[in-house]
Amino acid sequence: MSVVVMHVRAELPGDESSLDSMHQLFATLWDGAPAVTTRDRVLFSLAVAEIAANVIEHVLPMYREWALDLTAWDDHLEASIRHPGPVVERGLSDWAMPGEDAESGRGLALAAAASSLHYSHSADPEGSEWRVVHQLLS
Amino acid sequence: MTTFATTTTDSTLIVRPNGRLDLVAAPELREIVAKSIAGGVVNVVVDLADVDFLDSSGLGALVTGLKSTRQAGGNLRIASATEQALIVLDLTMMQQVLFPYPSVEAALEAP
Repeated sequence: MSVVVMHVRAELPGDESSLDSMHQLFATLWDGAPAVTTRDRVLFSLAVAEIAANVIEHVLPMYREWALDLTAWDDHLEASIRHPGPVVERGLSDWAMPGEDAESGRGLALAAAASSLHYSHSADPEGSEWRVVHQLLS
Repeated sequence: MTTFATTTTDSTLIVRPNGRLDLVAAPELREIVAKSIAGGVVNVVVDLADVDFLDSSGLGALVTGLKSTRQAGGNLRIASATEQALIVLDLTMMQQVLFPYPSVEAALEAP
């Protein structure tokens, strides 16, 4: 059975300034979970950040807040990204890595390429949620 | 907030971002490279030593710079990528296009 090592949560404003808070939250998480390797930190934070950027770009112009939960378990890392309203389909279709000369469109493909990650998004009366799960190998 | 230090050596602009090269900072890098090309300096080295987080937006700005410098007869190279940036290049299969030189000096001296 998995054991929680560290959990942090923040309600964030719906603009690009919230990315600072997100990275501070990552730092707090790693302080409380020092055994997580650099590579696992990079892969997990990259996936979460790309999903968050997608939400900020495509969803938050319509809303003004989002919430981020980060949990370090002893065998995996987990993130919940919640925002008001339904999942906006625009921006969710580009999962394939674009060509090498593409100047944009790598976000979701990059998140998906960070191995051992799984995403789900669902809508409920209180909003929508993305979940990122990264299994720790060691 | 990400800051950008710039110097020009041997007709090459060296850009050293400090902080995150992400959704927020990418437009400024695009602008710096565009101004450099407009001013006639078409070779650019982006020193990534102090970039603690590169995301797809930052990578997109590097690709924009690569394309625009080449169209102007120059080039854009990256140097001193951190482990995080190297992982991004690997996951996006961009290491052949944006070869990560180990140092600014190596990037400047490469043929």
